Amino acid sequence: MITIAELAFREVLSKKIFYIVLVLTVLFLVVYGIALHFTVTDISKWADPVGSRLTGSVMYSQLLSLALYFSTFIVALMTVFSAVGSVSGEIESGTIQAVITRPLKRWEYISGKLAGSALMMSVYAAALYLAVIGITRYITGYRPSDILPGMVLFLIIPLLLLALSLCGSSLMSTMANGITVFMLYIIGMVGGMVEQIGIGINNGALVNIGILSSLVMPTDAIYRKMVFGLLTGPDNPINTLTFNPFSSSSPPSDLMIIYTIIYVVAVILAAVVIFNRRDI
Amino acid sequence: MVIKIDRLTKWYGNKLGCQDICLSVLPGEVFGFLGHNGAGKSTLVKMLVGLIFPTSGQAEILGRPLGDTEVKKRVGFLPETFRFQDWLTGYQLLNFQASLYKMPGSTRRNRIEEVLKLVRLSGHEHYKIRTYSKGMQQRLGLAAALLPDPDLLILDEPTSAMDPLGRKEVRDIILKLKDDGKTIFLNSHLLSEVEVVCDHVALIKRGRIIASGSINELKEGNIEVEMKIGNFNKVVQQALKDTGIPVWWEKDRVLATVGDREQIPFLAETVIRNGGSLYQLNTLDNSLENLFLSLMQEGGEQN
Repeated sequence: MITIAELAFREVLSKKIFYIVLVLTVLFLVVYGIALHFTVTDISKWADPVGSRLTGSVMYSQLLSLALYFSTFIVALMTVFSAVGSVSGEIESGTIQAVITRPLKRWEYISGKLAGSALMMSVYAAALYLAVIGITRYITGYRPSDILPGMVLFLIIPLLLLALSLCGSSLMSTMANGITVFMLYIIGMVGGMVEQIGIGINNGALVNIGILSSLVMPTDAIYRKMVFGLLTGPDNPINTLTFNPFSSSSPPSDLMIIYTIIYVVAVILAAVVIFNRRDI
Repeated sequence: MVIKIDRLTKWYGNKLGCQDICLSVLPGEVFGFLGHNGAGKSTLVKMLVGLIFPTSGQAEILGRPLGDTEVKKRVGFLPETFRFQDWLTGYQLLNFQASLYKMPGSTRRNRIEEVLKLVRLSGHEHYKIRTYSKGMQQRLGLAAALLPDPDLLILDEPTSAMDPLGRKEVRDIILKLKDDGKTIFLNSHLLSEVEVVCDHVALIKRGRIIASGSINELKEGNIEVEMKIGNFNKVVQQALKDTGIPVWWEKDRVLATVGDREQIPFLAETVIRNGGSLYQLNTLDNSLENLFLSLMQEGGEQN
């Protein structure tokens, strides 16, 4: 299992796209930093100090939620693209034949793939998350609450997508799997937005659509939980009063986190069961 | 018994992969599994190495049922077209394969060097695999299969994608392994290869074994007859078919396999009586190729 995980890890490092993604991520952070810088410069020119502090707090939290939303999106995209072909790609190319015919159980192969990719994506996601929070704090002085619990939630998102991509990869072709997982992710995302609008206009049907979609794909619910903890804690009471589609005014309960963990475990088990029976 | 297969059958949905395959391979034997492309050779090998699961029947390798992880440590397998992580160097690939075989670090380095030497890749191991020629890649695959010093080596079309020189190189390695007493299961559609290296062969057609035995046993009792026939029209062709003797032809060159010398004049008489002009009739050295063609044709008619 460790051998497979190590190889999966090294494979990512051997690809040019990995370095391109790193450069583009830095570019994203730079653009975000510049946007924050000019916002701060603009707000600090205001004559009314109370008004400027209040507006600043709202603006920075909105910009931070925007950055976190797109960070989640980048991490999700990266996870799906890197994992959809992790098994099916090897089956399609035939490299798997000289691997699983060795003294290796099939579950070890799947767990190795999962462990290698999970480690890689977690390091990337954690770095991106801390960079976004750090840049915000450094430039604006804005302090979100619950940074570490937020990071744990932020890491659950790629882990969930990874498990789902791996499960699909042991069942479908790379292309079909990529489309399926990404569509599911989009369903979760749209459902989350619909739910926020539903809460905003007090429409039960929209809220129910959101809840249903988060049961199918809990990524957005986890994002909302994270962003609520970060932006709506005791330090940031204002945020609950403003509507922001990237933020959350009514977070999912802790039960949603338990549901998501069960979801991830079930998907991993399904991947193992499917792959155990699959003809290659 | 190194391999013991009992009525192994594989269906892919409603398409037959292979059916009721029974065979056994003894220690130290080089066993050739022969058939056209798509006959079901790879299906059998894939079941043996655990890539696909049989629909019915059973098999044992080194006394253990299929899929046994401990047995896999003693089996080397070279897939039909050996594909690998081509971003690795040859050495890195072998090192990865050695960890899959759970070889201890202390013996690993020496063993990698040994197999590299055996397949004549020493000096190339630190280049990326994507820079290797097809022949070198196949030999690297062979090196990977040989890493655990296996009791059984399963080779699926080891030379199919190679040029004649590459084929000879791989064939020489197989012969050397044979001399070293290795048991080898060789899947091939190349008769010349099987004829040179194998002790026993089984012929598969449309998923079923149609003949098996030692090469000498299979050749025994059959005489190849080559004829040049003028006016080789449909009447003559039908008459030859009606004799019941396996016959096939290319233009005016006709080949027949007779089980008995007495059938030779009978063949000549059939040609002449039906208006064919018999310019030439020779008996040939009985090569496996002719036998193969004859058995494949017979097998087809029986099916």
